[in-house]
Amino acid sequence: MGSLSTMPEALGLGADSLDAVIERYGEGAFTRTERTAAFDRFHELPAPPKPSRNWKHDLSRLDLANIVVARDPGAAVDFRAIGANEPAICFVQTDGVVAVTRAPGIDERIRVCSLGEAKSDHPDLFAQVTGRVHAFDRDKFATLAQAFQSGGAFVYVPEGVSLDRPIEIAYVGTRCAIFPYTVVLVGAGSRVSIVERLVAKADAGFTSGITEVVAEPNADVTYTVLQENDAHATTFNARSAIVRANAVVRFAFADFGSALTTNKLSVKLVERGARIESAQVFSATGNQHYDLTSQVEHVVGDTTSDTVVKSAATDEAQARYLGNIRIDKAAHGSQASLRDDVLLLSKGARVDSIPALEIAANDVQAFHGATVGALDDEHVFYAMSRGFSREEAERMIALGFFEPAIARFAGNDLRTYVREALATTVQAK
Amino acid sequence: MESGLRVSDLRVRVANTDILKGIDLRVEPGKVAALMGPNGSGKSTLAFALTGHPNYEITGGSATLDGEELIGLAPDKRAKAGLFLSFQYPAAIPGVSVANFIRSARQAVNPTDLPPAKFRKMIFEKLETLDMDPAFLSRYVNDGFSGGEKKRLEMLQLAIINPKYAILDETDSGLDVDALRAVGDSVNAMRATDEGKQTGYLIITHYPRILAHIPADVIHIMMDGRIVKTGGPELANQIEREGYDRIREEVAGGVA
Repeated sequence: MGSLSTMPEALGLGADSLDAVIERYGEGAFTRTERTAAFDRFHELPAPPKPSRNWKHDLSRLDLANIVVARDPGAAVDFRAIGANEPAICFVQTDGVVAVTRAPGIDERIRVCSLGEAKSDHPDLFAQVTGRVHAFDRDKFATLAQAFQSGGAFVYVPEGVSLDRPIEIAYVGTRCAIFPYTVVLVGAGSRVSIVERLVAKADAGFTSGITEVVAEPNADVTYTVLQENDAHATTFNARSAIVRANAVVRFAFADFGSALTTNKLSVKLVERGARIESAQVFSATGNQHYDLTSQVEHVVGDTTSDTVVKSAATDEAQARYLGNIRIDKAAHGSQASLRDDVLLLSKGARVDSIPALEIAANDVQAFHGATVGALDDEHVFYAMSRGFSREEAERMIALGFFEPAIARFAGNDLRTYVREALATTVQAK
Repeated sequence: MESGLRVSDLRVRVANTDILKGIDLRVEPGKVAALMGPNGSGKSTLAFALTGHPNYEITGGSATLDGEELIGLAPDKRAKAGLFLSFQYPAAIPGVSVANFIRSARQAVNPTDLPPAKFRKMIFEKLETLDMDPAFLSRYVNDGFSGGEKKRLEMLQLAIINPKYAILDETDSGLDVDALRAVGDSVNAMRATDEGKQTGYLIITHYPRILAHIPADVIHIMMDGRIVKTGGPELANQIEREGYDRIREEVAGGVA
C-alpha cells in the first residue's frame, strides 16, 4: 500500500474499482476472491422491480457508474453528540479510514477494531460470525458491502463482561460511498449497548451496510441505529442476529435521512429463552422512500419476539413495511407480537403495511396488528382548546404517536435525540 | 372595556341544521351562571361554538370575552384570551404525559415564568384537592382513563390554567358522589384564592346536584336552541321537584 494521496480515485462499481479499493485499504476482511465472488452475486441477483404507482422510486436509475468507492477522505465531520455522556469506546470510520478511541478504565478484554484487524488478530472469533449470520445469497445490495468493504467494525465482548456506557460506531461518508460492515459477538452472560450512526454526506451519496450480531447464552445486547444520511443518499442496510439461550437482543432503529432507505432486519431465535425486541421509527417527508422488512424466525420453543414499528409520512413520501414472523414446527410455547402503526400527514403520502404470521407450531401466543390513519381532528381541537396552535397540537399528537416506539430506545439521551429529530419532520399538510 | 363573557343573539348551525336560534347570556367575572335544559336542547353546542370547534358554523350574533370578539378566532386564540372548556368527552392523546401536557398548556395560555419547583408544588396541591394519585402525571392524557378520571383531569387543567372564564360541560355526568364532591372542592378552592376568585363560570348540566356544590348566581334554562327562562338559584329546586316538563308547558302556554 502506498501513501493515500497517491492513490487513484475509483469511480463506479466495477472490477477496476474493486482493485482500487483493495489497493487503497488492503484486502482487509475479505480476500480478492471473496470480493469478486460477492460482486458476481450482485450481478446475478435479479434487478429491483420497476416503479409502480404504489412505489415510485426507481432503482434502475441508480447510477452505479457514478458511485465513488475509493478516494482520499475529506475533512473530519462533526455530528451531534447524543447527550453529555461520553461513550465508552468510539469507533469512527471516515470514508474508508478507521479511528478508535477508548475512555480510560474500559475493560481491556472488550475489543473494538476494524474488521481487517479482527481477521488477522482474532481469526476464530472473526470467522464465527462474519458472513455467517446474514443470508447474502438472497440480498442483492448486501453483496456490495462485502465486495467493496473497507474499514468495518468488529465488536467483541467476552463472556461475563458488562459495559454500562455505550459503544458508539459512526460511519461517515465525506467524499466516497460507504459500505459499513459491523460484526458483533457478545459472550455468554455479557451486556453491551451499541449505537451505530450513519452519516453519509452529499458527496458520499450511496451506502450499503451489513450488521451481523451473535448473542451467546444469557447475553444482553442493545443495538441502536441512527441513520442521518444526506437527503439525496441511497441507503441499504441489512441487519441480522442470532440469539441463543436466554439471551436478549434489543434493536432500535431511527431513520431520518436518505432519499431511499432500504432496511432489512432478520433475526433467528435459535435456543430456548431467546428474546428479540425491536423498535423502528421513521418519518418520511418530501419525496423520501422507506422500504422496511423485518423477519423473525422462532426456531425453537419458549422464544419471544416483540416488534413495534411506528412511522409517519407526509408530502409525497412513500413507504412500505413487510413484517414477517415465522414460528417453526418445533417452537411450541413461543410468544410473538408485531405492532405496526402508520400516521399519514398528507393526501399525497402513501404507506403500505403488510404484517404476516406463519405459524407451524401449536400452542403459541401470537399477535399482530396494523393501523393506518390520519391525525384525529377531535384530538387536535382538544389540544387547541388548551392554547396550543394547530402546528403545536399536530406536532405534539404526532410525536405522542411515536412514543411507544421511542420508549424502547435505551436511555433518556437517545430518546431525547430521537424525539427532537422527529419533531422537525412531523407536520400535517 | 365591557367585562364578562357576553353572548348576543348567537346562532349556530351544525351539519346544515340550525341548533342555536339566538342565544343571549352573560357570565360575569367571579360569578357562576348555570345553563340547564333537557338533552338535545343545544347546551353542548353552545360550549363547542364558543370554544371554536370547526364543525359549528356561526350564522349570526356575537360572543365577546372582556370586550374581545371570539367569533372567528382559532380555538387556541380563544384559550389565550382566557376561555376554558371542560369537555364532556375529552380526547385521549396517547404518548403525551399529563405532566407535559398541563405544563405546556399553562405556558401557552399564561406564559409567565413558572419555575419547575413552583409548578410541582402547585400541581401536587391541586392533585390532593381532587383526590388524585400523583401517578396520574406520568400517564398519557386521558389514555385508558375511566370517565371519572377524565373529569378529574379536566378539573386539574382548569385549576392549573386558571382561565378568566370556564365552561363546564356536564362535568357532573357520570360522576359518583365522591368524585362530584372533589370537583366541587376543586372549583371552590380556586374561587377562594386571590388569583382564582375573578374566574367566571358557565356550568352546563341536566341536574341540579352539581349546583349544591357550586352554587349558581343565575340559572338559564335552554330548550330547542333558545333560552326560555332565567332565574335565581331557586330555579334549580323547581327543576328538581317538577322536571323540565312544567317549564316546557309554561313556555308553550306563554307562546299560545
